[in-house]
Amino acid sequence: MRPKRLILAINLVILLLLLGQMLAAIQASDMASELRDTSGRWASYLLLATMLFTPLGYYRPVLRRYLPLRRHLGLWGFALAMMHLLIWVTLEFGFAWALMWQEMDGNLFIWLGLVALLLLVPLALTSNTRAMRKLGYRNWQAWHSLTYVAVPLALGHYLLAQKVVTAEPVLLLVVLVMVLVWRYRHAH
Amino acid sequence: MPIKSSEITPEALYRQRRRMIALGLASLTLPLTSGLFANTKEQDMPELGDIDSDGQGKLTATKLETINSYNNYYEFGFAKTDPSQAAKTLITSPWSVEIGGEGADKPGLYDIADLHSEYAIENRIYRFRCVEAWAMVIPWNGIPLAKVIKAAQPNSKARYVRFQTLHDTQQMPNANWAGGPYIEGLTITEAIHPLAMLATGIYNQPLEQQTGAPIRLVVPWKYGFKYAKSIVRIDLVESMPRNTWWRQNPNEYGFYANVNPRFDHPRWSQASERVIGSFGRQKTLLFNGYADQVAYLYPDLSDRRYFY
Repeated sequence: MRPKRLILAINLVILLLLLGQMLAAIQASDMASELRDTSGRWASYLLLATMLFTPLGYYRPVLRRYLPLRRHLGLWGFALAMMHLLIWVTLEFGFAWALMWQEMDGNLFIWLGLVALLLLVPLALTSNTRAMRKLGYRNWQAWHSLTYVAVPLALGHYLLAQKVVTAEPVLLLVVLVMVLVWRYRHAH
Repeated sequence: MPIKSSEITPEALYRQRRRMIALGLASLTLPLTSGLFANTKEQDMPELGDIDSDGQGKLTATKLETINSYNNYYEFGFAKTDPSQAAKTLITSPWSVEIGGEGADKPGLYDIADLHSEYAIENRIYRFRCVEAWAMVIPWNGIPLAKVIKAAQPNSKARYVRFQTLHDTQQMPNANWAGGPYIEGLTITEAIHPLAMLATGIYNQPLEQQTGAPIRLVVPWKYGFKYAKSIVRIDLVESMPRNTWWRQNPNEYGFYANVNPRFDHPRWSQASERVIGSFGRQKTLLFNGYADQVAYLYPDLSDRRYFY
């Protein structure tokens, strides 16, 4: 299959997968928390996946042809992270700002998530080719290295939100550390 | 040795029962004339409607399907939906509970059926508050814990009560998540408090495995992790039992774990709670709304020790 078609197919698979996940969440006993957790979890998977393109492309140059997919995964991840926040504000708190503030007051994990999401906003806005040209590739790349701040914060947020240390966020963090170590070693 | 006078329900508490009726938590299920904790037959439990929840507007009892499908029972997995799927194979009949410890003059082995025939089942509609900041309203059926404890004839060594959940690696896929059996504990005065019960049913249905079948602890003024499930042992002991969550993470969980919106969990707020089955949040109440009944047990309400 040609890269373009495969990328389209992968996007379709992601769309269907997310729809299935959301439909399952809606049927859960506690729709609000299921939707919140599902969107948050998938945001972490997809955002982490964007960081794998460079190391994987280094070892398997053929994969570089799929680089446009990185942008798509990043945008999916951003959309889910936004949805995650909006579900928290609407379904979970019903716009009760005072209660939300109480929840945030002194609770590190919420701030980690919020900062991560804020950092992703400029990245989503400049994820198109036009913005890339306007900024110049070097500037654009500098901006997008914010990923290396946002994703660790997001995964820290995931880890700390659980009652106990669970396997999944730890696994994601292990992958992240591997990417960071690889990056450090291959830095020019 | 008979029960010490200090362990008998104080008169003030007895009086408070009438005030509880005013709270209306149980007024819908029990006729006023029979008193709050009067025995009722199982079929007497009426349809559940709105329950006046003392200053929070109206609360509605959570639907049975919801109660049975949103559970924390780590021995069957960490996700809320795991227990309702993985626990189905747990064999809960026959089942017996051993009551002993150095504080019990009359230890014994009780079959669930014996407990049912010996003590009348009572119905209590209680608020339920998880330490994870979600809440339900659950119509329990069960027996007052005090009756079971008094039958074991506590002596002067009975200062605490230790509860132990079944630990069966064959039947529980995640039995060793905490390295051993799930342990919970209460002080003896907490355990003989009239609000504390051993539940065997919800909505007049026997407990399902995921809700702690066949018998579990219910202490509505405390966070849900105190409600030990599928109990196999109850010991009256002299020293404070190290309960599982306290052992797991002593900075975040302690022995008393009384609900208090003013003492946050180290990683999240306890000021409000999500009501499962509906949207939005409500404010959390001191002692989960049972302050009038239990606050006298805790002399210093600014002592964090009591509230995590």
